Amino acid sequence: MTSVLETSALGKRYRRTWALRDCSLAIPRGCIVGLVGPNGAGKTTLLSLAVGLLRPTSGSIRVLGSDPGRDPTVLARTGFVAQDTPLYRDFTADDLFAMGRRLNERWDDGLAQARLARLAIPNDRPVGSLSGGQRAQVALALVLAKRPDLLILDEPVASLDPLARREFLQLLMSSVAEQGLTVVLSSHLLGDLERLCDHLIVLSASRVQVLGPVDELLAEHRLLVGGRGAPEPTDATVVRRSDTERQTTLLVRTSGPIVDPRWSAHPVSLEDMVLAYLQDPAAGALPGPRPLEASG
Amino acid sequence: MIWLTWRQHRGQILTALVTLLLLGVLLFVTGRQMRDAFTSGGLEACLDTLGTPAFVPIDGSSNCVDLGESFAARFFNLRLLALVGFLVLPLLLGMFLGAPVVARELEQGTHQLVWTQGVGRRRWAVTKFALLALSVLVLGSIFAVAVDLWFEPLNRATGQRFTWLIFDQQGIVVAGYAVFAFALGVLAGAMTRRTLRAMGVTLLLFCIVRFGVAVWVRPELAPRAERSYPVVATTMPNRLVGDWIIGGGGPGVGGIYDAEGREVQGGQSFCEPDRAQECVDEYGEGAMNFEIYQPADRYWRFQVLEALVFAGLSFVLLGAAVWWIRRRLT
Repeated sequence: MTSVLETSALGKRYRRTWALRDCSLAIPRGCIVGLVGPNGAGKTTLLSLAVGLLRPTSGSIRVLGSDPGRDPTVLARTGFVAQDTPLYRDFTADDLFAMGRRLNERWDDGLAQARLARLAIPNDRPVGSLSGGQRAQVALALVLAKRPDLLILDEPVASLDPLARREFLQLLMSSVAEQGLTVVLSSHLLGDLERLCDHLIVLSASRVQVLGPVDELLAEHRLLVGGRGAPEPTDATVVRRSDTERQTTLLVRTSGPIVDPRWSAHPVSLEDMVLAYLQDPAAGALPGPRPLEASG
Repeated sequence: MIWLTWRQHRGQILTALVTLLLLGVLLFVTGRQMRDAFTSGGLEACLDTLGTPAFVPIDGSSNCVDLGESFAARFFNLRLLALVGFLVLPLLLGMFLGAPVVARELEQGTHQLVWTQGVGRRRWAVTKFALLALSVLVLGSIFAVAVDLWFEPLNRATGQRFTWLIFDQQGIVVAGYAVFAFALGVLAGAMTRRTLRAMGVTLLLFCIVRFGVAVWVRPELAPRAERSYPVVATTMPNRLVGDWIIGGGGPGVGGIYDAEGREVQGGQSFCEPDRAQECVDEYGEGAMNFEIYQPADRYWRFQVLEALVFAGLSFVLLGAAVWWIRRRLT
């Protein structure tokens, strides 16, 4: 399987603080990757590195086979929507599409226009006068019309109301299905990611904490409930432990079934799992669940 | 890129054009007033008759100086107003077009939009800077032509076109200053990431560089000429030709020298032959006025050279801005 995005020991430092370090991962073609983590965990840094807006301090990153910071042709094949969907506010949607047509070799004007028409968004008004949801849709149309191989979205729905958010994500998913592209999407909203993504990256304190296909991650993690003071099972890694007066609850990662009769095992939701990791950045951070692919 | 540059900056460029147009009307009206006075007051006829001899009679019978002085005095307020406006406008033109080019993209986050399209950052920067610098050059040149036409009677009336602050208001240096302010604004915008801060930095550095070039570089753009002429004489140098008298006193920069070539004092002095004794008493027999100057016919050479200095500086600054955008804004 070919990787669309691959990093190796990738690190980025601003003056003295590392925004991202030791990040090694590979994203296979065709998957939808959710990127989660608290504010300041390095999500935006990772995504900006992937579109060449930032250059790595250490390690390397390859997107679609080449270095995004050096090779503008990679950028033509990547669609990027930055946080808060920055657009030239005095441009109309038509102006923005005219810009996209002129700055990219591949450009599908019909697709961009059709999307706006379907959403009844005026294409002759300055985008600054549109609602936040409409602006996000214009931004999405602008990147989809590039017919990208890779779509990178940084908190695309953070500023949208729930209705606009659902509309945006629905349209995103239908386009993804139509165009067969790879998507990397960062979000605070675990619920959204659970519905959309088939792969998950959890960043915490500028490191990759969890990495893997969502179904495998869910299959590997169990919530164990047992009597207070029961010895922790030896065949599982404890991610998080919480004790009450009467019982102990463990979130564990395991490769096989839990056989210890003192513990009863329950499946875990993606949200619970991610929160457990985020609450304790040291937990299972290194080594995290195995990487998507062994990265070279 | 050409389309994008025009679409993004057409507002600014058109505003600048309209401002120039309004200014042009103002210059036309006041300029015609001056031209009328220049002709009807007899100054033009006097200057035409006088021609451009290097020396004119001291007695003032035909040297048009009195007419020129009263003409200049009549338009004193206008000249003062023009001085401020003409010195500041090229700076404003360049600064307002230059400072936001990169800084506003960074402020509004739109660099993330435009730098992730299929054109590289270098092409974005080079095309944009080149086109906008060219626009500033064209706008600056239009301004310079209008100012030159306006200045013509004043230049002839005062003969001061080559001197400090007057030289700086007209000719192609004006376009050079505007492009320089633009380049400074672009680089400052890329480095400070804020439009307003970039404008402040541009203002400060522009003034420093302009002052430095005018005071230390300009006089050295060509070897200085020297001439001496007797203190007791019937003629003196024609000040209306427009020479730039650099040294009128002090060691090595001219003054009054006695027959042995020793400096007696700074400045200049003249005595007509019937009152020769006064000068002989003061400076001795055979004293000479000595002056260092740049001849009027070098005016355009100086204009071109100084414009080239600023063009070169602008080129370096814009190159540095391209480098900064590619290497440091990451």
